[in-house]
Amino acid sequence: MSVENQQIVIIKAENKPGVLSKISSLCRRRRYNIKSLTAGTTHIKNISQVTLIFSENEDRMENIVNQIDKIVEVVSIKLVESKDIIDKELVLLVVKDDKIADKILKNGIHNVSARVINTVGKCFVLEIVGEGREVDHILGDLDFEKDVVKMARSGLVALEL
Amino acid sequence: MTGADILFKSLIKEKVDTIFGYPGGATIPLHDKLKDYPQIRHILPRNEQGAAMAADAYFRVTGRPGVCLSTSGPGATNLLTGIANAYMDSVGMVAITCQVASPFVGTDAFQEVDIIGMTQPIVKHSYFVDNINDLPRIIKEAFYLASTGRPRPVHIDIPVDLFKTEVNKFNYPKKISLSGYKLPKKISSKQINKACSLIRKSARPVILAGHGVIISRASEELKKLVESVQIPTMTTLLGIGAISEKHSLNFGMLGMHGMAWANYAVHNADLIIGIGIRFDDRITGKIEEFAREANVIHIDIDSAEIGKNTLVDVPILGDCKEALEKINKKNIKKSHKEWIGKIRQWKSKTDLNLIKTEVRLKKSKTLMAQDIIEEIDRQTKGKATIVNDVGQNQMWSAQHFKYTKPGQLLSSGGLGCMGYSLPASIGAKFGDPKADVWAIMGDGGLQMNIQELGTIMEHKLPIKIIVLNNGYLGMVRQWQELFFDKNYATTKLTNPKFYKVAKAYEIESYRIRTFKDMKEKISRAVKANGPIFLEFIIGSEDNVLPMLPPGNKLGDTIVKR
Repeated sequence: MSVENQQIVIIKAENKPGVLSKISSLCRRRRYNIKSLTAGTTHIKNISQVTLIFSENEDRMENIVNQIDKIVEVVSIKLVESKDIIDKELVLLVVKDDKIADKILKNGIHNVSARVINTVGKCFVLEIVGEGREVDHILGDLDFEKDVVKMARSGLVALEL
Repeated sequence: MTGADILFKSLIKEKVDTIFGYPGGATIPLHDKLKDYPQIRHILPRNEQGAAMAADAYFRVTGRPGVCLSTSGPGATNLLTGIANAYMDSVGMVAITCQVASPFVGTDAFQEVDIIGMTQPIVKHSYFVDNINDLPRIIKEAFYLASTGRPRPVHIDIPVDLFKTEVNKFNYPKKISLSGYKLPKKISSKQINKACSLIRKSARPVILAGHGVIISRASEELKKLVESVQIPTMTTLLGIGAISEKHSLNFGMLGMHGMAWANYAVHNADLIIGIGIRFDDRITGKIEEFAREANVIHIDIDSAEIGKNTLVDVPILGDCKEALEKINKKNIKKSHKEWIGKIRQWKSKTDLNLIKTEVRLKKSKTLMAQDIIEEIDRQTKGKATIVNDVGQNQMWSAQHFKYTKPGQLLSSGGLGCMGYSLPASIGAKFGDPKADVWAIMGDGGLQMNIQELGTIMEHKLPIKIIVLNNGYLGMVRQWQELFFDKNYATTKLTNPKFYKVAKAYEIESYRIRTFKDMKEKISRAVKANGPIFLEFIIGSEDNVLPMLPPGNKLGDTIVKR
């Protein structure tokens, strides 16, 4: 997935049951591809933030933004540009041995913070935190079949500046 | 006082006078209290789908949200088609479903379905009631949401045990707090100015008026604009009546079975002003070719409709009436004699009377639906309220009756829902008892909700039921004829004698085959004080023309078989 057609949308919504399901089923029904969806609380009581990453061209975005905006619990929605936000993603990664772990820990190119949080036999459990794009790069250098035992990604969380 | 009282008291606060509802296990404690609220008339359809469609029509004639009510499970799922219909056609409705008792929710209990999950994509908003004390607020919000902005259905699901819960007092909230609900702000005068400058510049403008004009009651303002700027106007199916069809600048319905001249005009226009429409595929034809040479001004209250299907040069977000008032204040005076002359020329070559015999097979001598509709128009002096079904009957009754008022045609437009006319005619009659309601349907649509003859019988509703019987699912047959080499797969119907079915419901009924009898029986219907059922045997292979073959541009509308 190229970064060019990745669109980031930040939604503020009332913290009520069913809101996430409404957002995601609206995207399904109108055939928009969701790459990542995260949700959590904000500093405002009863307001949650949803960070939604679409794999879509920009010209399709206006309509889905307007459609989501009509959901009664959605207080605000904004299509943001990467320069206007900070974003982070957490990856939990189990790699086969110390060599692979080292390669990630000592990489000098990609700006992520990585550390070992556990070992299971010969395998290393790593925690990697960084901007979505940097995390993509560092994972892109791995050979998933040979190097990786397990992986889980949190999805992107973004904060508008 | 119990939760059931809270519901009825809340509905009365919202001035609800009619509920179209069907009982079941989960409604018993609610219906048990009905007798204490004589202000509310409870109409029992014979299938919940009829309740939803009657509530839909109730909104279309009164402008107030219709209320339908069902039990859990199958009762609730039967509402779905009617709710979807209301959603597609921007109809305000409050649909109340009763649910299994709270402790059983989520256990696949008897007659439990996830109805909130099922209605989610076809409602504006929905509520599952956890606590009976929330119900007054929820009812207030539901009616507010259903009737403001773009009207649409709102769904409330209430577990049955809540109706039995004892409540001390009833407090109906005065204020509404919905922080996420956004109504359009004041219309931008910048956009109005841009629109006016396009209107001043254009040589070949057209107005396309839709259901939004009727919902926002903007007919007067529309007429003012049409006359002062002399803009030829076309309507969508649901926009019919937004401007009188007897007005010299109303060039009728456009679209797949719209007037050929209207389609040619839109295809050749240099400015398209869409008012309260959504540029649906049935009116744009091939979207890539739509408005190729035209600028587009789009007035709509729903931001998600603007730019959804077609590129828009000047979007105007807001209420149609307010937007038209602002444009009218600019006092633009123009005439488009040459352009209007051109459209009249197209009209003179493709007038419905000229192409009338094209729709039927040469040897056919049967009654024509077109004549029947025109006769109803003549004998009711154009004052009937027509509730049509879906398919050929829908297009014939849209084309051949001259509608002069908003709300004079009730039709299932967006969803195209067969079986609409019979229950909707019931809702229309209860909503507006003075209306002279004519339900027009085919033999297919009649059988989708034929059980509602029971409701009509029970209330002796003076509805004129017109069945155009061609023994086929006619519109699909027409497509099979034109595009599938006359392979009439599954479209021929084996029918009973419908007039005898109506007789069993104690409804005066006739089967009619001749022109003379047609005139006589319509005259009888005009005078009838109770329900009357006229089954007309029409040409089995008559077609609807004009027609824009699917995938073609508006300019390619055909007028020959």
